[in-house]
Amino acid sequence: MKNFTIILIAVALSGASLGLSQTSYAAEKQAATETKKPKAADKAVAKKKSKKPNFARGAKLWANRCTGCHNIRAPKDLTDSEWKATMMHMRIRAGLSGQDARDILEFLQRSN
Amino acid sequence: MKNLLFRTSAIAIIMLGATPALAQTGGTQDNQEFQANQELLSRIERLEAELAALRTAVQQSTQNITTAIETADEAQATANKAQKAVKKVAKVAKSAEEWKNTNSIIHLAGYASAGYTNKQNANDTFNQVQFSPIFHYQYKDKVLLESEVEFKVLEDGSTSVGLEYLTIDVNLNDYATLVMGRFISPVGQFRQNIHPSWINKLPSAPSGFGHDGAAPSAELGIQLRGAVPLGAVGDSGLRMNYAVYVGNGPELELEVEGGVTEIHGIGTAGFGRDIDGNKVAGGRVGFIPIPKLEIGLSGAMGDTAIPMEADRSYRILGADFAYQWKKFDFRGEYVQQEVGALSSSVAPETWMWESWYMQGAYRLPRNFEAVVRYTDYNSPHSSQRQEQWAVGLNYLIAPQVIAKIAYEFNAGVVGRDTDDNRFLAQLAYGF
Repeated sequence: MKNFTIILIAVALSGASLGLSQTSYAAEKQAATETKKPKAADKAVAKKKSKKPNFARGAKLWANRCTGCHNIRAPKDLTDSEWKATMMHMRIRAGLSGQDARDILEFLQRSN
Repeated sequence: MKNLLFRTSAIAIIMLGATPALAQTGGTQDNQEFQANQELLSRIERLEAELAALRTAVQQSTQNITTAIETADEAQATANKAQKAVKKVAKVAKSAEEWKNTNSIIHLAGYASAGYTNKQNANDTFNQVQFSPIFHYQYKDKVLLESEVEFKVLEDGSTSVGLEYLTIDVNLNDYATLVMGRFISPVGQFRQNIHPSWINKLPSAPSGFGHDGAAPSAELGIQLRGAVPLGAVGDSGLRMNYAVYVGNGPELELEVEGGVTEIHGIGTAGFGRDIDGNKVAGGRVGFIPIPKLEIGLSGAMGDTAIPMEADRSYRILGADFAYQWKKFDFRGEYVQQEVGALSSSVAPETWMWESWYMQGAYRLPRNFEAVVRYTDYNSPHSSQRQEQWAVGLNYLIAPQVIAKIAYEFNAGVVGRDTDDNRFLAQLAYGF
């Protein structure tokens, strides 16, 4: 169990470092991607587009997922900034993917 | 003489003849003068009229000019005000934009409650006073520091303070977040998501799902959690979420009853030490096959110990579901914690705590809500066992501000407080 724990922690922390380093250099990568051949640039644009928050999806997810635990709260309850932190918390607590959280945040911030 | 006469006559005649002519000539002149005078008068009158009209026009113009000047002043004042307002709006917009786009966000959330309990065979009392602020400190979309501190008023009037959880959460990507610190146990649904008073539809936790019951409370360690859409990305259909963790694990609490040493309970507060030296690993997997339905399976295993004794096995099993249909809300959960046998121990047997509950709620008109819950809690100690029916009526002052009343029909060992029915009232506020 001890070895297993050490391995798990090591894997998790390296995963974290990798994930963070990927995020930190995202802008540089994007710039690099833009200078590459058009096919790679198209892929990068498509990837970016797919991560774009979607208001309609967010509205659906807000209605379906938030009620899973608690009474649904109106978008006007909180400011944009408060929703941002709340959605970060709910992403982790309620088991939402990054895309789901972005979609719901888009809906809440545009409706408050 | 004749000449004189002639001449006189002639003169007279001429004079006489000239007189009318002269008279006639003088009248024409007068007429002309009169006419000229008349014309002059008319002209003067016209001029006077024109002058009066001009005076009126000048007065009107002066008035208009004054009005125009006043209007211009007002317009200038309005323009100045508008300019100031625009500057103010720009300032506010800038500050809002800065706040919106700032890298770091500080946010305070949490919940609080206060209530009243009237229990059989005991004095009725105001209690359930709890304040649980949750601090969020977020850096971009990458990191969230979150911590819940729990303040509770105790029976003796003192206040207990506890760090319910403190974690630093790092988003690795869209599907995984690394969580490190003391976290609420991800086993099941009630402990990690439903226990806050503004979320729990009844004033009490189901038996066995409170602290030191059948459900583990917290863990100190490292956790990886996230979600994976099983359908198309962005689709609101099938999803899976997960949480896996490794932590220090629980400690066993001893009690001597009737001269016999027993394991009173499993301490799962999230210890900052590991007395057995072995970690506990576990987690939960949740499936959302259709919107508004979630089914979860939980488990954990590892070792635990009584202080100064050898290790013994420790296991958790759990299952839960939640479903919303129209105005109904259904949920249920089963959890079991087991400590394995150890012949060398002062309490050598296998010890198992288990509990399950089913709850149904229905939204009535005018923001009322009816709730019913059945719970069955089994413990190695008969004094802890309890079967409970709870019925409640809630009034939603706001979605996050709830007034609750409930009655619990409790069945336990006769003579123990687990057997006493209770009436509970509670005001809960989530923020």
